[in-house]
Amino acid sequence: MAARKGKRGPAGAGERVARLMVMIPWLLERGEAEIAQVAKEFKISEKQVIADLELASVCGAPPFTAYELIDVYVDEDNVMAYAGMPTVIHRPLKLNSAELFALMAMGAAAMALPGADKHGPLNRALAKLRPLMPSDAPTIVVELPKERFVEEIREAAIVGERLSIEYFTPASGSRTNRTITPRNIFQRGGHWYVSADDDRSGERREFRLDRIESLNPTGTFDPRDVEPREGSEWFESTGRSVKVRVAQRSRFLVESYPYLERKEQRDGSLVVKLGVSSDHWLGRLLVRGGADIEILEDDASKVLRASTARQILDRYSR
Amino acid sequence: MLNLLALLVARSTPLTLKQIRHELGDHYPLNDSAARASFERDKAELRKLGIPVDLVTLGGAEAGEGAYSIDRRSFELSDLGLTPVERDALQMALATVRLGAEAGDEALWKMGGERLLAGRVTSINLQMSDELLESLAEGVTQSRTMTFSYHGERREVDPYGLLARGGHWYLIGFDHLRQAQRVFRVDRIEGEIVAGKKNTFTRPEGFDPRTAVPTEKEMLALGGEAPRRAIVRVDSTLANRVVEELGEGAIVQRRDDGSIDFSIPCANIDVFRTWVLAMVDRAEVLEPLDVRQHVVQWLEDLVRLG
Repeated sequence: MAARKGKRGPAGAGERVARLMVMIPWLLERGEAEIAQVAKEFKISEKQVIADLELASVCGAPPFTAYELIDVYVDEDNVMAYAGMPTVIHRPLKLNSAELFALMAMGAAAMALPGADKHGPLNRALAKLRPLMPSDAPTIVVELPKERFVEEIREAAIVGERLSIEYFTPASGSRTNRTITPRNIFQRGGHWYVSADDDRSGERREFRLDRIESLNPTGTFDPRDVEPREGSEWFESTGRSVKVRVAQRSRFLVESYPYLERKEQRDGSLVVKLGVSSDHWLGRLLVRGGADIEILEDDASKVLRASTARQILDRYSR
Repeated sequence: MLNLLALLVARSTPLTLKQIRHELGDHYPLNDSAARASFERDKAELRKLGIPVDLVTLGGAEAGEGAYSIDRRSFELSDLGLTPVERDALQMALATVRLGAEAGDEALWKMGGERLLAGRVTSINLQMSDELLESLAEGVTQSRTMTFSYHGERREVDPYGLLARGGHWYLIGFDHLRQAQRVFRVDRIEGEIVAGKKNTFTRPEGFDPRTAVPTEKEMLALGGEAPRRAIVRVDSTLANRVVEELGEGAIVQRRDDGSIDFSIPCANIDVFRTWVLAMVDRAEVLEPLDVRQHVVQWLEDLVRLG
């Protein structure tokens, strides 16, 4: 319902009416709201809020008595909405399929968080939405990776507590001891990550939770982060890339990685340009894919594939 | 369009286009065909919003003429009976989970809630584009058969449900082409999804998306051949992760240097090889000999490929 993405020019009549059908019951629920708050909530300008509500206030059915749609007062800063008598837009529109799906999926994901209360208000809210679904059976299920330390790290992020961790780095097979202050914890692509201030590098870094071997609270606290945010730079570290063609049966090996370019081929294969996080990561990918992954650009990657294969063969020949 | 909605909701009997034009004055053009076209556009827009305009054919003196009405029960959200605490809980959930679409916000507004704009300590990214969400939602929540291209084949599927697992969405449904229940990775669906008519199928009794999609552990055991197992030695640096993944039951022997020998299903040799090579040189297939030889041959071929 927010301003249309990627479209220019004035909003069409359909879009404005759609927005009003949501905005008016929302205002009626509150009775009064600041124009700035309405604009921020619905991601439109204050000017647009006023224009939309002015449109609503002059619409209605013959004999065009007042209060047909909504009784709205707009002063300098506030919108006041009243529904003293039956109006056309009184109750919100039914949830459409995308909205229902989103609520059920997002609710299911939140319920899958460690520590979620199986009898709490979210579960009760989802139970009230369930009759709108076509079946009593679970239709939309979200599973989150089960990881140790999710709750501990989340708690530490809330209060800004420093944690002492032992962290495993697969590329080198080494473990390091670090003190981190977790800022936020996020799940993406099947893994949990924590974005934290790292004493070892002096920077904010992302750590994968399944690589944290041990964790201990230190009892020392840092000021809370004002703007926690999801880490997004975790895979853009080296600036190096590789372009490969992946046969259909092995596409699953690359599909969970962020890509710079991607093109489906007629034969079901995929041409994809991937960001390279480390030689270890790339060598492992190329060995797993074997001849199913054809290297299109970057001859150094061919050398890396052969050397990784030799490294593993050395183990078999011991 | 709002005036048309207000009029048809306010009137208890259906109105012909002539009556609508008369009631709404200069809302529609004077020219008959232009007025009809403008009215049809309004009707289509209202339908797109989820507000159906019903048509009845009149009898008597106006026999054959169409008349239009809107029943507010057909478009208004009934009271779900959410308590303020329950609505707050949904708000929190929506602030935590990202689905790559705004549908969640819009649902929240309809229920009188607000987006939580403050920073979040925990976030979950379920990664789905707006287009996919809309198409899949129609199919799953309204039991519509969906048609799409998958691995170059046109598939017609009754979507029973969706599962988000391991960073991917899976669609589970009855595949008309294979005449059996199948699992589709949503990110491998090619091009547009076309949804058919509402309520065209029923889900099988006891359907559960969790059991319909095999886990990685189950994948290792799946295959056309007879059940087989391989012994794999995993170095101490990764051994505990394999225990977490496959359980204590997979352990054959704990060794003094911290490495562990595991018994791993290998009926599906391709899945097994991919699994074992993910550990690079920190794992080694010990037996059976033909499985060990398969992995060695795979690696030697790669060295030759250069």
